[in-house]
Amino acid sequence: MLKKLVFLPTLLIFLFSVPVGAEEKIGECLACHQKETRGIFQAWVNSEHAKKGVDCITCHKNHDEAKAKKSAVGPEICGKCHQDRLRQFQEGRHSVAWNGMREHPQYQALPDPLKKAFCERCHNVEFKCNSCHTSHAFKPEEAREPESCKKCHAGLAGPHDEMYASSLHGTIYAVEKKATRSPNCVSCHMHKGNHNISFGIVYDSWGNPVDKNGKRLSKQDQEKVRKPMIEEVCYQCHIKSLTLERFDLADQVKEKAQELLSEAEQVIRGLEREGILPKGVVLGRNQLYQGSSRIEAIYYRMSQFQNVYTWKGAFHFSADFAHWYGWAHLQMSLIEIKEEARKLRELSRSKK
Amino acid sequence: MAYVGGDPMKRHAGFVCLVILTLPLAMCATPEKSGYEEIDVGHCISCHQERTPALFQSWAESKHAKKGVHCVTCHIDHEAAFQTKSMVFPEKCGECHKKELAEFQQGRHSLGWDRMRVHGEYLGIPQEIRTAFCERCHIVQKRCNSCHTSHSFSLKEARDPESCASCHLGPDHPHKEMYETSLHGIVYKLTQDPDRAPRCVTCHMPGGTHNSSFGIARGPAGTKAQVVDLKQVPISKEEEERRREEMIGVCTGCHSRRFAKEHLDNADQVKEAGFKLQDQGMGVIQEAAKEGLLTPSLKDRMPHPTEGRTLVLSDPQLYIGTSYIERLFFTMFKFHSIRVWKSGYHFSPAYTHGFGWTEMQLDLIDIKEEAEKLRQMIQKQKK
Repeated sequence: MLKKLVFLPTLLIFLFSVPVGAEEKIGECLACHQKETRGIFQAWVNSEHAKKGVDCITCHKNHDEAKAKKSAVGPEICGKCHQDRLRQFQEGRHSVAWNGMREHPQYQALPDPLKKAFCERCHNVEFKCNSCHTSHAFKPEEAREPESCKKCHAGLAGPHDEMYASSLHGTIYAVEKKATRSPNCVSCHMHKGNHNISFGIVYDSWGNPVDKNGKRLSKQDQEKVRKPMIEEVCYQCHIKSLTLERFDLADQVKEKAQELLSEAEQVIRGLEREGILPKGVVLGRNQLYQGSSRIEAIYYRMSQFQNVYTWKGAFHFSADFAHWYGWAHLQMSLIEIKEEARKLRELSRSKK
Repeated sequence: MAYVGGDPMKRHAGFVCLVILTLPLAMCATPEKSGYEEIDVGHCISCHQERTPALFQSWAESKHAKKGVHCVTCHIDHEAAFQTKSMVFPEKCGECHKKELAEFQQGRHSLGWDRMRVHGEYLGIPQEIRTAFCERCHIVQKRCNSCHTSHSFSLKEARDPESCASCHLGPDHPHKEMYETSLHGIVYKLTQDPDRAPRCVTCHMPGGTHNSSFGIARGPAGTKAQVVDLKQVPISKEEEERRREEMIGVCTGCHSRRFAKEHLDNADQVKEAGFKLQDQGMGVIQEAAKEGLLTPSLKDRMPHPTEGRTLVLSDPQLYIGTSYIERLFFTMFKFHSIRVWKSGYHFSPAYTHGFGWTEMQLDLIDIKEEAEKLRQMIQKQKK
């Protein structure tokens, strides 16, 4: 009842005061949508957009156009008002997520309905500000919560949420809910609201030191990229020597994990040379998780999951991920790969 | 909003006010005999409110600040702080918190570092990266701020299950996950009321005791059946019973004594059954070892850092460079067996049964199958 009382005057104010596009009247939208999509409508009514007179037509233009795009509103539309944010967004990797996905063989190997239910649901961040600022509230407070990032940044391929939650940063934040006390995701990755989410990040998802467009970063470039994160974020709480030591340590963890991966790769390449595995085995970045030999599948887990847990766990300061989910499992997989190779050789010998 | 937002001038104005308010208090309250008189806390603050503002702010809002415990009280001076990378050891905190320090030293947290240093698994990790793994948690021996994090040292925070969860989680000991899937954990999550359902500290640090081994009668470290004291000597049957009674004392806050005892005794039986299953897996591998089925053989691999060239099954077994059948057993004892018995005591059926017992049974199938395959391989080679 109370909600209705608040809502009616709000509605009246809008009907009479909001500047309206020449042809379309916002009242026309509301007449249906307050009934047909009540939840969305209510979220908009309570939003900052509604208070500032940003209405259906401002973003969706008109009914026909909205319908043709299934109501999607691209970042360029949002950028008409939020110019700085759009520019920053375009500097970061979120803005190339869709293209990156389309090029990946694993995506191409999936049937269409699965593509949509799997990869596209997150990688469409390239086209959707409302991946994080969800419709139609578009609340900055919501977008700043680690929960908001979790929708995509969780699970086997990139358990950033779990790594963060099990770090001291994450555990303190979970209790205090205060970013001045302990950082949340955006404290480090979107410092002061910067929408370039690649801020301070040297490596891509595959651990290569490259920029957004895949151009390799020299050692000096890497330092240049990392510097603002260290100085503007870490130094809020940590002293210089300790901070630099921690980054250095994480780099070393990454290197050591890479050594284990290379050792495993050598075992598989050996089998390839001996003709036990067919030529042209794809390992790592473009590897598929389907239709390969078992030994390649073990390697898949190493490279796509366990290696990521190790090095990304180290950069998120989660000992649990870096060590137990990561390093320990890499070592155990290496044992398994060597044993599998031994059995395959034995099998091929007995066939002869 | 990230860290410290807003107008920088306003921000500094806030800090300056805080400093002005807290400084005289801090100066007056400094103990006379401290010998720190020469160092002016204002000297630290003049840089650190700029250089590490969020750290400074959490101190300014802390109880320490209100009571006049400031930089110099704990860090002594810049030179000393620099040398220890600003670390402050429990002995320092114990100058004021005497009771807590004495209790802390009775529990296994106070051995965290020393025990790690002699463990084979630790020694098996490249030295350069140990800090990123084991040391980050095992440092609890040297850091009260593992739980009371700097520079708030907030009690509310340290008492929250989240605080324990930065170490007590994950494959090797999912205490957090077990608790969260127990009725205790669920009711606490819903009510956030420790009078309604216990959280970690209710049972493990009752009355605020800092002896985190309180009431733990079956243990330790999770991989051996026997409980040992701080010197690694097995405790007597009587001592076990005394500790069990201690813990039952906590349970009787809600449960009848009979009920509590029955459940803990039942968990003892779960534990025994789990260890029997583990022994079966171990037996299969010992047999395989006798028949020379392990590759690499003990001769052909790196010797165990503490046990030498022997077959090490269960603690301190390594996850590096063993045969595959041993690696299968590693998962069985290190991850799954521990779920069975520890979740028995934490009353999480999902963990004790699903993630524990079921997985152990499946491990056993894998181990037996692997032994059989190895046997067949050898027979074929002989033909």
